[in-house]
Amino acid sequence: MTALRASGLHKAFGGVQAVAGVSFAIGRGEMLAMIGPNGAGKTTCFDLVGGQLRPDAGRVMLDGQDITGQPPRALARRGVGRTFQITAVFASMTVRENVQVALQAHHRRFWRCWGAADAGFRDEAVALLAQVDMQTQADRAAGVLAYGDLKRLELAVALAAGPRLLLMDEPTAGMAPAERTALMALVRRLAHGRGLAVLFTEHDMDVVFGVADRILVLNRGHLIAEGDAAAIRADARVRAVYLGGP
Amino acid sequence: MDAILIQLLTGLAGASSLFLVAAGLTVIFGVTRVVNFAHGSLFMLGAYIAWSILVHLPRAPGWHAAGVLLAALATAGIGALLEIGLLRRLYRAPELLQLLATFGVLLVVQDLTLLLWGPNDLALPRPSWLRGSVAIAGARFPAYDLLLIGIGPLVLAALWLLFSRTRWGTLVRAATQDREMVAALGVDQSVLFTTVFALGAGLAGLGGALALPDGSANLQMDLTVITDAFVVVVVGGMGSLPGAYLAALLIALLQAFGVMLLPNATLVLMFVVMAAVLAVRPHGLLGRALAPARGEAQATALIRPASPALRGLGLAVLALAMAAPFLAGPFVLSVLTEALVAMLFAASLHAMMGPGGMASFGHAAWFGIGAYAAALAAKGLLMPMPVGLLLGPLLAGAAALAFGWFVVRLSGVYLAMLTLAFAQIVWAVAFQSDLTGGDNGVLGIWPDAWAQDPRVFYALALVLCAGGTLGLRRVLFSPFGYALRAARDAPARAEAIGLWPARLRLAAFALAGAAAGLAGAVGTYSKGSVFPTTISISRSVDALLMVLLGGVQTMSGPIVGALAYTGLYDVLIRATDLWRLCLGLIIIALVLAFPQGIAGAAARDRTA
Ligand SMILES: Nc1ncnc2c1ncn2[C@@H]1O[C@H](COP(=O)(O)OP(=O)(O)O)[C@@H](O)[C@H]1O
Ligand SMILES: [Mg+2]
Repeated sequence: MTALRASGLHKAFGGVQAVAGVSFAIGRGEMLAMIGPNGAGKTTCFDLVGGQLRPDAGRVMLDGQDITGQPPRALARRGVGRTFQITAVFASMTVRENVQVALQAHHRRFWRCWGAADAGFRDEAVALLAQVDMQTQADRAAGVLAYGDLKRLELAVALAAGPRLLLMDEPTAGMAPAERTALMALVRRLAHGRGLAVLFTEHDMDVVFGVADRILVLNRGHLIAEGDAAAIRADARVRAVYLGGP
Repeated sequence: MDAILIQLLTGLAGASSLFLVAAGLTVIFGVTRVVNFAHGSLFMLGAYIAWSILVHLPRAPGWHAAGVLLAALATAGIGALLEIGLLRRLYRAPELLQLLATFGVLLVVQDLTLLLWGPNDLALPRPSWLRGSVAIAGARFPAYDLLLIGIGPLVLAALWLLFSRTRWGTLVRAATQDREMVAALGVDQSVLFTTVFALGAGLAGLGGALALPDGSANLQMDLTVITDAFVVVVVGGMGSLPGAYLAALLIALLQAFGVMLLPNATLVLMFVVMAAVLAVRPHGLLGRALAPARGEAQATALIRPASPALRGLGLAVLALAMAAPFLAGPFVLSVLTEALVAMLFAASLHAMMGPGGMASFGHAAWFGIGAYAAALAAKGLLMPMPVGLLLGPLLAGAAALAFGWFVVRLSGVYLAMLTLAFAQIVWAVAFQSDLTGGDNGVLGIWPDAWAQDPRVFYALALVLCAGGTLGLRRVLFSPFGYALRAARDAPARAEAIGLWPARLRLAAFALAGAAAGLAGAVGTYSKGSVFPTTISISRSVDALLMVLLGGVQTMSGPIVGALAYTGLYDVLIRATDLWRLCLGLIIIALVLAFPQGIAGAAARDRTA
């Protein structure tokens, strides 16, 4: 069953064609990796699917419904969660409050002007933090976390809405190799266990080949290869892009 | 046809004056990212210094020109001292605190100028060559204005040569575009910044000296000029010199022709232009989105609910405030009422500025709308006081909602400037309209009979203002308050979890407007009158000072700041004629000592 289908996506910035005719689909419970050198257009693809950018051409379908050009807040309601390459957390709040805000947003409580916010969804927040192994840091300020912890907190925030599709742009950048594998193994368990569709980018090829069910390779805005780990390893064009040569 | 030509020339002369005022400000901002509130003060000093020089010189044009240049050089020197002595220490502080410090400088310069040159306007005895006029199209046009028309573009060209043809200029342009890069290349930034600041100050001084023959050196110049300069710089795009000239041209021409069509709307016109330009081009005519400046990207402080100790202290103060009617006489009660009004006013600004992330330079607009709404309900509609107290926040909130629609898309300095523009429009309407009594204001608004006893009115003010302040605080700790803060901390992330930052900000804007309107309505009944000064820039700055003194990043900041500021202000005004000097020095000292505000510093000490 297809969770997300992107077809013929195009996006240009001024003269730069960042994404040129990219199509792909993600099934329920599938871990799909998108790899490619810096500037290949990966983040732009995420922004097109996540609603941060509107495509110049092309369609994005979520569970069979057209969501092209819808703002991220509307997609969040439809079950799209996302983490950012440049980590963004709510720095004036504690770790737990970061998750609580996400839970409040998910339950559409954010117009409530009365009652203390830090009393709502406490246990749910702690449970989500426990999933990413952050429960011991619940009362720390989010602004002072180490990089790897920030990434984990972002994942907990994204999971708060119980998404059906998770977009993770470089979820493990800045983490130690062991941490990376652990985090992505967790994501993989969630994907396979709950039928969560995951699209992620990652520079560490060991992680990619280890956890991805399928891999897309992007270069200069074009999709140049698609397949499982073995197929990608063997692909001549991928080798050319990564290893140089013709 | 002839009239049009004359207005065109008048407009061009006006454009030159505006450009001279704004050029230095935009140059300084472009490189140092400091919004220099004291720019008008440098302009004023230029005029005064020029006066002192020129009255001692022969009247010939050559001597006059030499005197004007000398005054500009002297102002440049003052600017350099200012940069070395003060601003250099603040480049890493948040930009609003830099602004606060330069406002302190403005206050200090005001009193020093008064001390040195006295309270009277100083006009230059004009020699015949300055009084002359030229016959153009059958009318007489002042020769000096013709000279000004030429000087504006001349200065623009000179600056252009300086920036494009010298090594120094190349470095400055590079620093404007990418400061980190220039620093990384090993250029001595401190020399660069000092010279840039001196150049900007010199341009301000030149503007002041050149403005002298057309008017006088007077103590109101600083604030008038800084408003004009802000508008021109913002309309042109901050940091862009050609933009500044274009904006000056646009505004001056519109004003020159506006006088013919709408003689009463000139005050408003300038700000309408600014609002229109920013609504279409959020970064001004030739401006570009700014790379985040130092200080902007710095970590935001963690916000926690009040600790038990702080809560206890707050309750004790509240109990004392409740006991006041039984302890204090009418005079003290009226002072306390003022403090309560100030507290709600500050708290309302803090709500949008702190958690909302929208700093306003024109918060007095909402206060003033509330004040006038109450006054007109009482005097015009002969309504009882509760109606006025209700209309105040309602109208202010509605106005804020309508205006907020335009501004919540903007951020930082541009948002602050657009709010300033709106406040000036409201001020000009109050000043020029018959309905509001113009300059005379609305007088004789007293509480209903049941609340005439000072103790009763104080109790009412306590309920409304302390209640309003605590209510705002509650809202900021509610889910809405957290969502608002989320949208400020990380807008993209907030949107990705389903929040709508623009709407949240708009709601906060309207809420802050309504709360300020309530403060204004209470203030009107407490004072018995309302004047256009209620909406003046200095009133808006008062609110900013209170919030910044208390610390934007804390929740009790506005309360501490408002009480500290009104207390300080009252004591100073009673104790000395030089209260501006003292207040200015205190502000500067506080900014240097506590770059995060008083309550912010206390909070840091607790966690440290
Ligand atoms: N907002 C933008 N404005 C202009 N160019 C952009 C913008 N975002 C991305 N680009 C350009 O688009 C291309 C793809 O960028 P990106 O999607 O970030 O690549 P990746 O994430 O694969 O490193 C790059 O050439 C980049 O410079
Ligand atoms: Mg990227």
